[in-house]
Amino acid sequence: MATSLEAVPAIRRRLEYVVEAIDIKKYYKMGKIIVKALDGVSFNVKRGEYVSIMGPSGSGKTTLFNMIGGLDKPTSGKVYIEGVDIAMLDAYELAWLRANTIGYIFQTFNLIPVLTALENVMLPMIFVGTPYDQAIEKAKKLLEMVGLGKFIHHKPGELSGGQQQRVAAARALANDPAVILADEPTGNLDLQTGLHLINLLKKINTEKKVTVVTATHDLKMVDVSDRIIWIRDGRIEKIELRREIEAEAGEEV
Amino acid sequence: MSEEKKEKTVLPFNEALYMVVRSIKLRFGRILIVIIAITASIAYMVSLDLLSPILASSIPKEGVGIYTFLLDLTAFIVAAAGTMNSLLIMIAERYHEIGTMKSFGARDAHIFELLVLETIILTIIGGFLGYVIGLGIGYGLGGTGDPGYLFGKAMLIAVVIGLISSSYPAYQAARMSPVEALRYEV
Repeated sequence: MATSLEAVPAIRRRLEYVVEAIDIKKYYKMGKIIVKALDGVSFNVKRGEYVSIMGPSGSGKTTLFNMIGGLDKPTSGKVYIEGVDIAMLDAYELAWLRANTIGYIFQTFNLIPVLTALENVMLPMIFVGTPYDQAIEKAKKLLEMVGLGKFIHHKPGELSGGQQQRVAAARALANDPAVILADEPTGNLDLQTGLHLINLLKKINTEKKVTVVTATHDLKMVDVSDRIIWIRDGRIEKIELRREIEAEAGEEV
Repeated sequence: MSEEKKEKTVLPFNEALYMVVRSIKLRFGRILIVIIAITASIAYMVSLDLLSPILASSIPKEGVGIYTFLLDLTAFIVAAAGTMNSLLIMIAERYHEIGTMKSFGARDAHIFELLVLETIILTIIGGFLGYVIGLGIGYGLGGTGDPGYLFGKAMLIAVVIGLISSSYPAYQAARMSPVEALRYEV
């Protein structure tokens, strides 16, 4: 599979795939034992797709998430984001990529506690040099879009978990990223707020045409995903299209 | 890649200052320990400087210079050690925040700048408080000296302590990868 992907010219890859992972391996040394967190994972994500990486905890999905987000380096294998091999980037280029091309959403929200919702959303825009007034306007719009227009001056501590995660979603959209990477975005939310967030992610995906990749074990995510990549013990167990899942469910009924 | 213009993420100074001031205001209780470490040492140094003429009268003339130097050195080392220790804790508590900023485009230099800037502001506050307290103690015990010179000395030493004691923990925090910083449990 890896060879066939590499045979495609880089420029075409860039147009078609936002994320491309080729034979990713991540080994950790724990004393004398080598732990294979990821053992040869290959997949790609098309522009505009909603892909969920699913698997039990310890299956390697967060490790994989960190690799495709350029937050961590694989032991071997290649990750292309928008056709760029991220292993080839220096610290400056990597920071630029994180700021512009990728929007992260974390399980623990990770808002900056001393900044207001508005300032949290503005932060990625400040990093890329957006003029202050423009950043404020855009941050307001994004917060309105996620339904927090009335809470823009609240600090994270004054918001509920669901609200904080929506601020995080607005922040992820700040620089119009090509892809949103969400690691267990519903992991710290209850059923109802989790569902709201999933619907918000789907809305972002369909209306703003942003590619969404989530790592999750929340089965509610299956309903909105175009494709589900099942990970087990550091390997891809299977890749399912939603159509197939729906078909299966249909047959069973 | 090579034909693309190389672009850098930025952190304008006024934004950095804003964030630092907000952080100090909202976390004042937690960072008080850093200020106290500096305040105590500078107060110690200033009061001893004022009292040195009295102390000097009881020791041989040639020893006075060395004696005051040693006292200053003690104050300096105690302050630097105390400040670095409390800074290490303060910075470790913020690893998640640092990891988050890095995943949205902050570079090592930005994190370093934020942390060192915050420490310098804290040491200026601590240095000033220490100067006032030290002056009170020194004069209260009948010491004499030039307050203007002591003010300059107190502030300079406070800032130097801030720079020295923050550079290592800030450097260490700044060069962490986002994932290391986010995974860190205090």
